[in-house]
Amino acid sequence: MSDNLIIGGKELKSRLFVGSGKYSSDSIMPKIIEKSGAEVITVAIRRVDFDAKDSNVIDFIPKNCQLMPNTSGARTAEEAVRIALISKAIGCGNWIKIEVISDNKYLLPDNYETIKASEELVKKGFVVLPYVSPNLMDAKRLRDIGAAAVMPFAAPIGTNKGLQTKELIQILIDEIDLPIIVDAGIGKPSQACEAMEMGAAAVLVNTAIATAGDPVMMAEAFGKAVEAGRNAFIAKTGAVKKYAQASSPLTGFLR
Amino acid sequence: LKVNINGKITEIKNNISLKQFINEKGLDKNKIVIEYNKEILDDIEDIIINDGDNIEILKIVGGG
Repeated sequence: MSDNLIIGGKELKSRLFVGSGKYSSDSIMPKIIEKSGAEVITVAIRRVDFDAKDSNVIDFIPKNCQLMPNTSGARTAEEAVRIALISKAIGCGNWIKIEVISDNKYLLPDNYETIKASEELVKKGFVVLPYVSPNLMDAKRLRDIGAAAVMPFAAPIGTNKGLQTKELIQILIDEIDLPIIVDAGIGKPSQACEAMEMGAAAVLVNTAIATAGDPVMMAEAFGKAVEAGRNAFIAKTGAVKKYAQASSPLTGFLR
Repeated sequence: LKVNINGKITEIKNNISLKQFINEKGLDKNKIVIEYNKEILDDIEDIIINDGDNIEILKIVGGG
């Protein structure tokens, strides 16, 4: 039986999405993508720096990957829509990770502006993947306006703190009939695995891989962890018991 | 001419087209997008830069 994740009509084998930021060089991306198995890659849109050496991350992302540009830098819905339209014009396709942030200390998303931007971009034909604080009512609003997924954070961006919002993410998984993709804050493969065991549809990882001692080996570790967690979710974990339950027969002892 | 390019007031010579400007900067037009006075351009061929124009030249970068 196929267990592919389908988002915006695209069938994905891998449930690990990776970001392309913070690497020492863009040229490491092919290895990161190959070893992680990731098919969805996030990118950002920025002004050209005329004084910097002209490297282009897009040259290092295989053509069969699904790009997921983000709207980072947007502080309002209006700015997010503007960045989405630019990303489409530049050739990133119609997927968009909506990211609207005006808090520079914790980089927490502004759900209200995110929902407004999402609604407008769904109407414009985008496959909309909003990055949000895990809130059930807001996730319901996003479902109702036609978002393709909901992407709650595990912990603030770039902190590697792990599943700090576990209870709230579990509620979204249980109540929202859309892929719940855990984005931001995951620091270790074990945490990605746990998110998948909980029933998350996918996880998005950037900092934990990019800032690892060996990013390529860490990319591979995350790929395996996500697969293991997904298999565990499908296999259904055994019940938790209060007292010991012997694993070996309790009869026929040698006396 | 004084124009605002990527948030900086920049002096450029008269009668220069966007296409020439991009070429002079050594940019590949297939890898950038230009927002010209807040409008995303499909085609940069025929535009001559005017005094006071607001030009954003954007590219894809790594991000999460």
